[in-house]
Amino acid sequence: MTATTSTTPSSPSGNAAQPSAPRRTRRGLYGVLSAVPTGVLWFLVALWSLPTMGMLVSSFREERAVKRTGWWTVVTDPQLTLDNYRAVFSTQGTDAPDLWQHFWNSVAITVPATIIPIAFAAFAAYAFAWMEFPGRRTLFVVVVGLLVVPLQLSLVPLLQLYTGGAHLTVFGETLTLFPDLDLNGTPTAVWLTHIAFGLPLAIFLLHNYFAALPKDLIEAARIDGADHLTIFWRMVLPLSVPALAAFAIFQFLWVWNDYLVAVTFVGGARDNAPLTVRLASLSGGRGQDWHLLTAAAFVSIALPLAVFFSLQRYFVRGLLAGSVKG
Amino acid sequence: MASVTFDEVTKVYPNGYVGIRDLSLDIADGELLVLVGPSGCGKSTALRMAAGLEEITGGELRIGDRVVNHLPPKDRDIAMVFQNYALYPHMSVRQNIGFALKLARVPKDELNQRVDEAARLLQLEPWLDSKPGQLSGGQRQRVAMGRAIVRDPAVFLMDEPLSNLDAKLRVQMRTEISNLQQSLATTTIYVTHDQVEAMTMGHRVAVLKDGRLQQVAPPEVLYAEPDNTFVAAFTGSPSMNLVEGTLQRGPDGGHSIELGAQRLELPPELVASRPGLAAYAGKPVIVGIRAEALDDAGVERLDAGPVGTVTGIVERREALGAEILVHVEIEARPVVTDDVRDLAAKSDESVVAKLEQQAAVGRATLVARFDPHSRVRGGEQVTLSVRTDQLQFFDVDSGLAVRGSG
Ligand SMILES: Nc1ncnc2c1ncn2[C@@H]1O[C@H](COP(=O)(O)OP(=O)(O)OP(=O)(O)O)[C@@H](O)[C@H]1O
Ligand SMILES: [Mg+2]
Repeated sequence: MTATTSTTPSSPSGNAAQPSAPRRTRRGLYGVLSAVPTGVLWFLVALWSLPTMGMLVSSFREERAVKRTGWWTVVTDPQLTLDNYRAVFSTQGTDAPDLWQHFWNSVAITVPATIIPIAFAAFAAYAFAWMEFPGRRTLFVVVVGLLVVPLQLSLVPLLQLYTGGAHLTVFGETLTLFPDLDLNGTPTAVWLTHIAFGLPLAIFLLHNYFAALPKDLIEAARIDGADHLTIFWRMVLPLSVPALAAFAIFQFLWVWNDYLVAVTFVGGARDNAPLTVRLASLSGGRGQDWHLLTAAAFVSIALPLAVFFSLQRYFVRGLLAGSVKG
Repeated sequence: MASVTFDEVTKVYPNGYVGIRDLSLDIADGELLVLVGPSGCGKSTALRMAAGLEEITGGELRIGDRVVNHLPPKDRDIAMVFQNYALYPHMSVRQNIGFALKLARVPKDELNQRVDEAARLLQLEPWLDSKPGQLSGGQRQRVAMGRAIVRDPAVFLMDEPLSNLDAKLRVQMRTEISNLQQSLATTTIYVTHDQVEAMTMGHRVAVLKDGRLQQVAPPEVLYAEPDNTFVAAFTGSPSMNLVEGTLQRGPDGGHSIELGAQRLELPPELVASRPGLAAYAGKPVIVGIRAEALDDAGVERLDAGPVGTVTGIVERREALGAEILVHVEIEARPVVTDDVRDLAAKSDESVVAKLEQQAAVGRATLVARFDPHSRVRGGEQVTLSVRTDQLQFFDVDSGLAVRGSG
C-alpha cells in the first residue's frame, strides 16, 4: 500500500466540518510542555527509574555478584536467585530479619490510620460544607489551623500521654483527662498519632471537594425528601470518590513510609516495629549486606505499589457530567 | 392540588439586602402563574422561599390552607425544576426520576409503574437506563421534569427551566410544559426572565422589579393595559413606545395630545373611560403607543377605529416577512425614566446614550409595525396613522397608569 491510498475521502456533509474546526490554541506553560517530544519524556522516565531498577535487579543477584560487579552486568551474565528474599523472610537465628512479621506490623498500623481518618473526616467535612450551625466558620478555621502543629514538637507530650495519661490536679482533686492506657510500644500508639495528624488535612481536602459540588444538586435532593444522612451517603460520597481515593493513597503512603512516629512509640519494642523501623535497624546492623537490604526495600515497596494501582482507577474525571449546566 | 398564597412575604438577606418586599400574591389551584422580571429582581428568591430553600423573614406563605413558613422542603408537597437541571449524575434516568419515591418508601411495584408512566409522558422511555451525561440538553430537561411530575405534588416550582436550551427547543418545550401542566392541572409557579415565555405560557403573569410586585394580570391585560411604565416597557416585543406629550382641552370640550408641534385628537370615549385624565389638561403626560397601533398612513388600514396622524422620518426598517418593523423619529420628548434606562441598558448601553441624546433635542423614536405592503425606506418622511383609541397614559412623575379619577 502506498501512502496516498491511506487518505480517506471525507464526506462532503457532516465530516468535513470536524477537521477544519479551529483548534483552541495552547498557550503558556502547558503549551511549552506539550511541545516536548514523547521520546524525551520516555528518556526522563527511564533516567528517573534507573536507581530503582538497579535495586530491583540487585535484590535478585547473589551476594558475591552484588559485591563484585555492577547490577548492569546482569545483561551479559543473567544469574538470578531468590535466596535474598528467602533470607529476609527467615526467622532463624538471633537477629533474623523476619520481615513478614514487620510487614504485618506495618499493615496493622497503616490500615486503621488510613480508614479511620477518612471516615471521620468525611462526616466532618460534610457538616462544614453543607450544614448550617453556629460557629461553623470559626470551628473550621480552628480545625484547619491544626495543620500547622509541628509533629516533632508533640512527640514528647504524646509519649507522656501514652505512658502515663493526662491528669489535672485542682484544689487537691485529681481529674483524669486521658487514662493511662499504657500504649507505649504498641501499634495503637502509632496509628492513633497518625489519625490525629491526618485528620486536619483530610477534613480540609474533603471539605474543599464537597463544598465545590453543585449547590443545586444538594437542594434538589432536599426537595426530593433527602435528609443530611441520605444526602451524605447517596449524593456526596458517590460523587467524591476521586477525592476519597486521593486522600487514601496520600495517607496510606505517608503512614507506610513513616519512620519518626513509629520509632518514637515502638522503637524500643522490636516485635511491634513496622518495616521502616526494621529496615533502618537492618541497614545499621548489616550495612554490608546490600543483597539483603535491596530485597528488604522491595518488600516494603510492594504493598504501596499495589495500593496505588488498585486505587488508581477511581481517579476518574467527569463524575458530574450531565448533572448541572451553566 | 392546592393554592399558594404569598401574604406580604418579605425576604431580607443576612447582609441586609431586601430580595423581596411585601409580596402578596394568590395563586389559584391548578393555575400556571409566571413570575417575570429582569435579572436580579428577586424571582428566584420568591420561588426558593416557596420551596423552603430560603428562609422567609416576613409575612406568611400558605400552600393550601397550611402555613408553611417553617416547614422543610420535603414536608411542603412541592417539586422543583432547576434552571440547570441538577440531575443526579451517578444515577440512571430511572433512578433519578424514582429517587423521591424511593426515599418516601413507595413500594417497588408502584414506584416502577409511576416512573414508567412519567417516562412515557415525557417520551423518555428509550433512555431510562442511561446516565444524565449521555443525554442531550432537551432530554436532561425532560428528566428534570420527570423527577417533578412523578411525585404528583401539590405545586410545581420551576426556575427558568428552559433558559439553557437553544431557541428552537425552547419553543418546543414551552408548549410541552404548558400542555403537561394543563393535563395534570397542578398549580405551578414558573419563573422566567423572558417576557415572551411569560406571555405565552402564563394563565396570569406577575411582573417583579427590585423585589416588588409591579402588576399581576392575565397576559392580554398586561399587554393592553400595563399598570405602569415599567410593565409597559418590559412586556411585548417590541415594547410599548413611550413619549411625553401635553394634554390639551379644546374649547369644544374635546381633548387632544400635543406631540411637539403635532396634535392627536383623542376620541371622547377614551377620555370618558379614564376619568383621571381630565386632571392632566394643560399638563405633560406620558403617552404609550403599541407598535401595532401605528401604521403607514399611505396604506389602507385593515382594522377600523379612530385614527390620527403624526409625521416623522424613517430611521430604519426591519422586514420580518409578515410584517415590517419601522423605526420612525418624530418630534416629541422620549421618556427616560429609571425603568426605561434600566431595561434599555440590559440590552445595549448605546441605546441609553441615544435616548438621552434624543431627549436633549426633543426627538423620539417610535417603533411601528407596518403592513408589509408599505414601501417606506430609511431617510424618507412618513405619515403614521395612529389608532388613538389604543393609547395609554401614564403619570410623568410616578409612571403609574392614568385611569380612574385621581
Ligand atoms: N444569599 C444572598 N445574599 C445576599 N443577596 C442575595 C443572596 N441571594 C441573592 N441575593 C440578591 O437578591 C437579588 C435577587 O436575586 P434572585 O436570585 O432572586 O434574582 P433573579 O430574579 O432570580 O435573577 P436571575 O434572573 O438573574 O436569576 C439579587 O440582587 C441578588 O444579588
Ligand atoms: Mg434566578
